[in-house]
Order: sequence, then structure tokens, then C-alpha cells
Amino acid sequence: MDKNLWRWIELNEYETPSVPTTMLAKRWWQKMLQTLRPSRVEVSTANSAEEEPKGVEFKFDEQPLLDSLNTLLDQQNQDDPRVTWLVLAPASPAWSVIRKWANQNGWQPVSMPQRDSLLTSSSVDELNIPSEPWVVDDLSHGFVRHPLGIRWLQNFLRKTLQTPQSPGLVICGSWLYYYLEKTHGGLNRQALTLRPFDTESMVTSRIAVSRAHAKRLVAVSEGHPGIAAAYRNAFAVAAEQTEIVLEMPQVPTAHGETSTFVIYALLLHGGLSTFLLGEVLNSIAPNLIEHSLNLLRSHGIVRYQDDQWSVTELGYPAAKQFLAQRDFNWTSC
Amino acid sequence: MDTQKISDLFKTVDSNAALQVVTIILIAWLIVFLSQRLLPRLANLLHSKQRLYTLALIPLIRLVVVIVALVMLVPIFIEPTLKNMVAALGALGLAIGFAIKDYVSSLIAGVVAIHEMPYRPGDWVTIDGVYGEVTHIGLRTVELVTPDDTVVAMPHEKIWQHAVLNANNGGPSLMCVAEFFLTPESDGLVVKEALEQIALTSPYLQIHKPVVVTVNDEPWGTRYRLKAYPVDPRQQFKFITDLSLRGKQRLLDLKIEFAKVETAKVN
Repeated sequence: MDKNLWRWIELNEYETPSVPTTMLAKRWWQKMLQTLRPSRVEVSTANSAEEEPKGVEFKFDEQPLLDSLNTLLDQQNQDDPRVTWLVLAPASPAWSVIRKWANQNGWQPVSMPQRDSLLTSSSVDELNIPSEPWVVDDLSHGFVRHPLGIRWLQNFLRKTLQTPQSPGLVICGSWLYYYLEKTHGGLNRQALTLRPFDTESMVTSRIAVSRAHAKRLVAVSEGHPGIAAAYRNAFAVAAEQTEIVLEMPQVPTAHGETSTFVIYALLLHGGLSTFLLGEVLNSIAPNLIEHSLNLLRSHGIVRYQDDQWSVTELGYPAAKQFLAQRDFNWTSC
Repeated sequence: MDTQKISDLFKTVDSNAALQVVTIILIAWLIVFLSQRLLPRLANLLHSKQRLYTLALIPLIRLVVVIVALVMLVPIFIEPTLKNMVAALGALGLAIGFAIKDYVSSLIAGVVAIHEMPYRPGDWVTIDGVYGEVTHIGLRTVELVTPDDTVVAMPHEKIWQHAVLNANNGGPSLMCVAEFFLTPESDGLVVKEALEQIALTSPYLQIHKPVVVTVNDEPWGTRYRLKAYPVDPRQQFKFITDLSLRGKQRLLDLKIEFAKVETAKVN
């Protein structure tokens, strides 16, 4: 397997892989049709996200990703108390691998408050940064987009702005990072992300079974390996197959404004409980939020699992396009 | 100029020419009618800049169609020699000067408005004290829809005498301001931080634009102004309401006192 498959790059070097013009034209045409028929509510790919995977399920080999982290973070010895931000897209396989790596290498997790407790009006929990190498394995756990829920995160940003005693690793979702960068005056930190997969990487990593399949996967996932793997598992494709259809769920345009807020809130927090979603969107009527969630779920855009609402892997490309179309605080990463 | 000379300006209009005139007018009317019906519908399905650009096409298409139609119609009635054109324009000028001065002033202002663009469809403007969204730019008037859903037909000629205040100027950025009136003893830094947090956590917030809190001391207390931008200008009232309601609640939770201004009784 190619050693450069998993390569960490500076966030500002991130470029979405190019998509063939024919596929772009097809996507544009579908968008136009959807725009011109806004009231039409279809459930064509409704439960595709919850369908049983067909054939053998693809799983990432964790070792090359662990090796890439070793290469990246071994360069940081303990005398260099830098804080490195690793910015990950939703469903990236790196989420779990980084936790494993930090555990294996004895990086201490920073204790974080419970999300629900962030909204109590008492003062924010004391933040203790360990004197050994430390890791925040998902920054969104310390954040709720609410006047009370933002205090811990602001405290954390202030503390890590001062040079800490030991090196630190902050794992942050791409949507939250983009929000923080824009609302907190540019984070100006060392932020890295995984290089997106191009056609070649899709074939090398064996996510795609053929070049034609790889091209389709790049187009639909915009180079996110986690999303591509979800599409590979949802739509069985044979190596010799030339006509490949990867059907993307469509975001219904009915209740567009509420759906926009719901999708953005779920992406920003990496999933939310019904209670917290209501608190984040407390200026929206609860019945509208509920209706929007049910509509989005019926279209395979969101799911409810373990008391959490989140955007599905298959629904992510459509959700991202939906926000981009509305110029709604979206990120290309 | 006697009657004979005036009548010499015009060609004899036969049935063939009459048919041409009717056809040109019908086609021009059809294009304008369709653009005015279809483009706003299309625009309302779009968002952000795409919506504003689509709306801006409507007056432009109408202007082009009217000019092309006039260029095609005039030679049917008048032989376009220099002498004839001077005579025709002179007669036209006389009519405009005496009879339809205000109407023509609005028409010309309409053309200037399309060229200079002090307002475009989708803009939020204040003209002569009326605030609203520009929904239609006609030949003589501009239609505004106020926040109370009242349609106001404002003659274009207002741009000659009145300032046009444009809140978003053809783009999606429109600053909203929520005001809070507090006692002068309030801790300004705590209030400022709390109000910034309110804006940063509003779902309507456009995060690409800055959030600013300004403070003014007044004789009755301190005025805090929370300034931020919504994602879509059409959400401005919901956004201000959201900022105001949540802002007040947060300040009450922080036990910050609101200024109470007693008005003087006039006997």
C-alpha cells in the first residue's frame, strides 16, 4: 500500500479533487430539477442509509494511518510544547485511529465537561491542562452553540493560546474549526488535515474496485475517504461493471430554512440529542424542528442513533451541497 | 410649423406596416410579461447572490426590449432623416415640457436608476422615509414591500431630490442592530462579552462577517448596540428579534439592570 496514502497537510493547502465535467453537469441538472420542483417530496433513497450493506463490508487498514501519525507527531518531542490541531471531516476514519494512537503513546486525555452540564448557569468547570503530552479527542464535546455552552471552549482557546508546558493534540471537526476560525478572529494555529483522496488513492486503498468506480467515488465524496467507504458499502459494484450508479439522497427543499439550521447544527456539533438541538435552535418552534428532522430522516440525510441526531455518511455530500447552495457558513474540508 | 409640415413628417401607414407595428409591440410585451412573471418565481427558489442577480435582470431586460422595440417602430412611422428627427423631437419636447413633465421625469429617472443602480430588486432601501425590500422596478415606479407587508409604489423621480439609503447594496450582507438600554453602573466588559456570545450563537448569524458591540453613554444610562449580519437579508427581523430576546434573557440572568427612563410630565 502507498505510504503517502495518508498524508497530513496544512489546512490551507486542502483542495477538493476535481470532478469530471459530465458528473458536474449531471449534478447541476439534478439541482435545477430540485429547485424547479421544490414542493415535491420523494422518498426515493429514503432508507438507503439504514440499509444492510451489500457484499463484503470495506474496512480501513488502521496501521498506515497510525504510521502517518507516528511520522507526524514523533517529530514533536516533549521539549516542544506546541499544540497541533488535527481537523477532520465527519466520518473520517482518523477519528478512532487518533484516539487509539494517543492511548498507545500515553498522551493524556484532557478532562472535558458533560455536554448537558455546559448549559447550567454556574461557572465553567476548571480546565486543567496536563503537564505531560495531552490530547483533546473531540473538541465538539466541550461545545454547545448556546451563550452558556460556548464558555468552556472560549476558556480552552484562551488557555491554549498561552504556551502550555507540554505538547498537545486537539482533534476538531472541520465544521467546528471553520466556525471557530471565523468567529474567534482566526485561530492562527498549526492546523493539519488529511489530504483528500483522488482517483489513484481510491484504487490504492482498495475502497474502489475499479478506476471507473474510483472516479464515481471521488465525485460523490469530494475526496473524503470515510464517505467514499460508506458509498462503497451501500452500493455493491463489481470490478468489471462500467455503468456505475451511486445514488445520493436529496435534501428536501420543503421547510428549507429550518432544515438549513438543523443540518448545520448537527454538522457543527458532530451530532446532538433532541434536547440540545432544541436549546441550540431555541428561536425555532420545536414542532418545526421535529418536522424537519423527520423529513430529513425519511430522505436518509439524518439518523437517530444512541439518543443522538446526526448527519448520515451517505447524506453528508447532499447536506454539504445544500448548505453551500445557500451560502450557509459551509466549509470545503 | 403648420399642419401640412407636421403631417409630412409621418409616412403613410398601410396595412402591412400596421401589422408590423402590432407584431413588434406584441412580441415586446410578451418578452417583458414573461420576464416579469417567470424571473421573480425563479429568483424566489434561489438563494443569496443568485437570487439577487436573477432579480436584477428583470428591469434590464425590459429596458433593452423597450429600446429595441422603439428603434424598430420609429422608422415605420417617420422617415429617419435629420430634418424629420429634429422636427419630431422638437414636437415631443414641447409635449413633455407642458403636459407630461412629471411622468417623463419618472421614466428618465427609471432609466438612470437601472444604469446607476441606487436600488436593485432584492435590496432593502429607505426612500423618502419608507423602508422596505425592492420587489419590482417598473418604468415609472419602484415597488417596495415594507416589513408590515404593505406595497409602496414610489416614483423613480424621488431619486432627484431624496437620498436613497441602501442597506445591502445588491449583495447579501445587511447589518442588523439590536439595542440594549442599561443603567450606567452595569459592568461594561461583562455586558459586551455576553452580547457577543449571544450573536455568535444565533442560528441566523453570517459567520464570515464581524460581530461588534458599541457603547454610548447617554444622560439616562448606557446604550449598547449589538451589530451583526444575518446569512440572508430577508431574515433581518427574525435575527434582530432573536438577538433582542436572547440578549435580554442573558442580561437578566447576569442580574444586569435595564435603564428605566421616566418621561417628564407636561402639565
